Amino acid sequence: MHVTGPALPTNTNQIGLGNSCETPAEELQPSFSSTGIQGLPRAIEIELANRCRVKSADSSKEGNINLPRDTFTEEELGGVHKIGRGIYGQDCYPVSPERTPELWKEYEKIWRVATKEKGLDPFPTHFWMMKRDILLETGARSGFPVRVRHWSFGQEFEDLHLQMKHGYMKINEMVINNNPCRAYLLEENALHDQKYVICHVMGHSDFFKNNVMFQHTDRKMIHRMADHAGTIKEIIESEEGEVVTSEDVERFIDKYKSIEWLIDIGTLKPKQLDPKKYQDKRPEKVAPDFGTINLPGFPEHIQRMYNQPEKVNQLRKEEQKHKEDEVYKIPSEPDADVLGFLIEHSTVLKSWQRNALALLRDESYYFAPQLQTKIMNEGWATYWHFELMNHKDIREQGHAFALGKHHGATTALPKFGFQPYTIGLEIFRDIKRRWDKGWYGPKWEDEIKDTVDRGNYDTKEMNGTKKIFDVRKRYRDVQFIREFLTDEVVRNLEMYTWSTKGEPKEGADIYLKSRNVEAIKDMLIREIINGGQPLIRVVNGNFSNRGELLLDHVWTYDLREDWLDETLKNIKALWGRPVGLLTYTTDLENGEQKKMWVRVFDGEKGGIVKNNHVERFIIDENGKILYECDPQGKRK
Amino acid sequence: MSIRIFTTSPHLLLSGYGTISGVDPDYARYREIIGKKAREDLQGFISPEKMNILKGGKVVQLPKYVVQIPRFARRVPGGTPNQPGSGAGSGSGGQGSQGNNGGIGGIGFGPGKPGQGIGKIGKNGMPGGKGQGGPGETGEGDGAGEGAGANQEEIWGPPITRSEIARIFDEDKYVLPNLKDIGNETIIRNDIKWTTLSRTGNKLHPRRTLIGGIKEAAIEKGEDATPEDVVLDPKVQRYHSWENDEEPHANAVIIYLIDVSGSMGDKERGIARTANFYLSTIIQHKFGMLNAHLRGQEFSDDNFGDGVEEIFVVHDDGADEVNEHYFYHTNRGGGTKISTGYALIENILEGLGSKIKNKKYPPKEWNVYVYHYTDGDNWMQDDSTVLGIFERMEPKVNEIGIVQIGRSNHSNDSNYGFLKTVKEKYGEDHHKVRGVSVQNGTPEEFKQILDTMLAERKPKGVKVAT
Repeated sequence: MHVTGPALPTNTNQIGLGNSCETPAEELQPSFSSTGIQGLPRAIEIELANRCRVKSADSSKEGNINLPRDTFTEEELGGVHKIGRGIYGQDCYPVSPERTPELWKEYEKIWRVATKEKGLDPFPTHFWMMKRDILLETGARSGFPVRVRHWSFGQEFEDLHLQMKHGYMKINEMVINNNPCRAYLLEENALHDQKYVICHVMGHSDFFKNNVMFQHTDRKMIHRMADHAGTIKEIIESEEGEVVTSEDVERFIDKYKSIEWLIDIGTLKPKQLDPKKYQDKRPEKVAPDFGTINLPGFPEHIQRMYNQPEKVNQLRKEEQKHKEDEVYKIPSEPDADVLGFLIEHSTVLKSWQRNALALLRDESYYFAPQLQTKIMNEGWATYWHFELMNHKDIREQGHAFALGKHHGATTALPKFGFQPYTIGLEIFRDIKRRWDKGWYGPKWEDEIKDTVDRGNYDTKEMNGTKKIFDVRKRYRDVQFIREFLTDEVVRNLEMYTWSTKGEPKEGADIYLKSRNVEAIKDMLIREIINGGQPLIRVVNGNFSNRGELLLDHVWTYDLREDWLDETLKNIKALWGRPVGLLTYTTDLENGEQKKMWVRVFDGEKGGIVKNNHVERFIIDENGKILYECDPQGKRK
Repeated sequence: MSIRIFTTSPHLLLSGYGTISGVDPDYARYREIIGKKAREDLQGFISPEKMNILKGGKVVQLPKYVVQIPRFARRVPGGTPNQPGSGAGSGSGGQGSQGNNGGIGGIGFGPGKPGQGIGKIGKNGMPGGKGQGGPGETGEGDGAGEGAGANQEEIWGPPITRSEIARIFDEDKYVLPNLKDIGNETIIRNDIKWTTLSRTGNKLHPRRTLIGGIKEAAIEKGEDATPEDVVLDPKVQRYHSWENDEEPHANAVIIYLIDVSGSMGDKERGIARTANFYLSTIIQHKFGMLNAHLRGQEFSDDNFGDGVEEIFVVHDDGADEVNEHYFYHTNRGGGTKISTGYALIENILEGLGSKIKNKKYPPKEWNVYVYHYTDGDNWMQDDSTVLGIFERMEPKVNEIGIVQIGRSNHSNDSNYGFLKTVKEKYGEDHHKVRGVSVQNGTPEEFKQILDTMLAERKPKGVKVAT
């Protein structure tokens, strides 16, 4: 008797028992894993790959809604295969009508309401069901199943694992900006939780597709990330040329991680690097006969008279300097793309390092829009999960409490620090209210003064929905806060700014400083500008004509002094020559601000040769050195 | 009967991924770095952090080691910067940014008027206070050294295994005191192990079965083999099977005895708990290594605690064998009669046996370590009874360690109470009966406890051959 098992046994010990129902093999919808085990007949692989391809949804049902769902493509299988750790299998499978019929029905409803009634325009979104550990492993890699190998993802995994295990944190949703959009669901969650997450993801997916900041991000990033991992793996495995061990690569990625946000975060479109500059470039040596006049047939003393060795020497020096200047070109204006600058101009990067750094820089640029739209993105998704979950078709009786609990957990407010979900949500709601009632424009601003009149003012124009869709398309966080954070939102959320009295050491008193909306805006924008990262720019690639890289820090806050040195050392390792940074340091006692120049170099001081030696000077605005100082800016 | 399997990829089962949860290679690498097995250049960047978790409805802090990648980040005194880029909604609390007035400042939510005090800067340089899920709840506990505070509980989770902790201690410095001669009294563990495979049985080994099936298919059809050709007939079926385990094996039982009379408070209990943690960690690690060595294996974390059992006994004027939780949390109000505790231990070893583990621990077969936590109070008449038990017990067990936790009114004099009586009889550095007196549970004192209990001491009057 031949027995086929149509459904995957959850407990592998049951395999031997089989399943008695006879199902033709063609109808099976198995999940598939490719873990790179070598030595299996290729035919088995291809057969399985074909079998795993899920048939497209039947478009005749449900009013021609062709729901997006995941299929395996050859590229994807190839990408996973390359890495040797596929994560697909019984622990991870796409949401489909066969495997998860109940959830699929709900998803169809949500998709219909979101796209047909509410006007959202999301990417086709593929949901995957995952077991907890797989979800955490994927979450540690920001949702990408395969990324360049690095231990920091392991660290992230442990964080998530511990927090989840002990219930401090629950992964609400994980969604990747990709076309088709990819989102993950935790298998153990109840159906109601899954619906909640799907609604939330609809918001994110719509935002990724439509917001201006995301227009140049790579929408095939899942494949790109896997390709990057494959490329890096090939560097290690390649037998040609220099031997590169996995530890070499790891150390190199450590250095990249140290400066991963030193890119032009605010740009709409990342600068294309010039591939010609990728080669190792050194100033050409001036030819030995440069500047000499060749007078064939004349005796040597005549030659000397015409050629004048001192003058020739001077000419040669000038030419040499000119050539060097051309190679070590100063950026014409300060360049925030430090990573790009290093790739183009560094003299010590080997070619594999240059290639790897270019790939990693792309990953940084891919994440940059998410740094800049955190408040809007989360606010938008929260706004829509609330709207969708309260829709009559989606809402379920008896689940109001669960919804409230979820929503409360998502939007809980901290006493210190800010919470992107709630601020974004409240501002979007405020915009909708104002544009519904006509609470905007010159008339509202200037003509209506009386409080009661303002309260009763209503043009009934109902432009709110249109406006929020417009805002989600054209804004990023900083402008969003600056333009739409109103008194009313501040009052509703009970926002304030706080500060400390005197030096902020342990036990110092914190007091509530202000509830003024402008003060709050300033403080908030200071925290989120440039994606919350300090803005560091290359000012000079050949400072003092000694190949020194000079960076400056556009001050919004002081930099952490103990990490400053180490980060500069990492940049120096990539640059090859001394590296300096101009920043400001604030005296915590009296608030006095001083300009500081931190320099890392290899050199000799007092007869002792020091590697990665750090020097700090307090300088005036013209760059004149005043005195040497310690990390806190105090005179040495 | 033959079985066909189509449901899942052979890759999956062969890799062992679906059945045995494979370890994320990046995670494995991270553990190597944390465990000081790789990347010496990163060791300087490993720093102990605390991580908020929920336990029993309240926020507690978990000690955790993280490798800090240096970055340009905002200066928060002692704080850490936001780590952006994570797609997961793990919303970390915002940190204060640098204000113009020289202090730090930031955004917050809640009631209050301008100028009103709303909190204090915590130990980690971040604002404290009872925020909702914010970075509040700054802890007072400082590492493992201070033991369990009233609101603070130390939890050692998976971030670092106990074996790794043991390795952090100077391994050569500590020994297993008075380890019984393994050469003569090697204990053969008579047990079965499910380690082998057979062609019959009732517990299928799916992975090996499938490998066999695929091999057969590959042999028959070669390159053209398809999944349908994988036939799992009895020829390729493999079952789990057992064999008798008769390997040399060293056993130990650690017996913890604590005085739970009214005079022992939470602080004393906390000290006992932390000291127990370290003592048992090192002993379990050493025995794991010993057993691995006896079997000729390489030591791995799985061997940790191999052959070691723990027994908990509490006493006031009567004694009871309890479970671990009860040991640390019970409180009784009775008087103190130390002899009851030791009498019960004698009973557990050779008399009726342990009622929880339901077995005896004859000292001939077991290495026995007794650790006793007391505040030094005892009935005067009871001391002689205890010493009587000690006389019977001392030759048989490996060690009797007494940790006397002093109260402040005894000042610094370590010679008082029960410990004084014991030391008068056995002297300061007896090789089996050892005692140490601590006051507040500082890290130095825990070191002192370990130095006393796990140091090598030769029996008096026996000349050491050189």
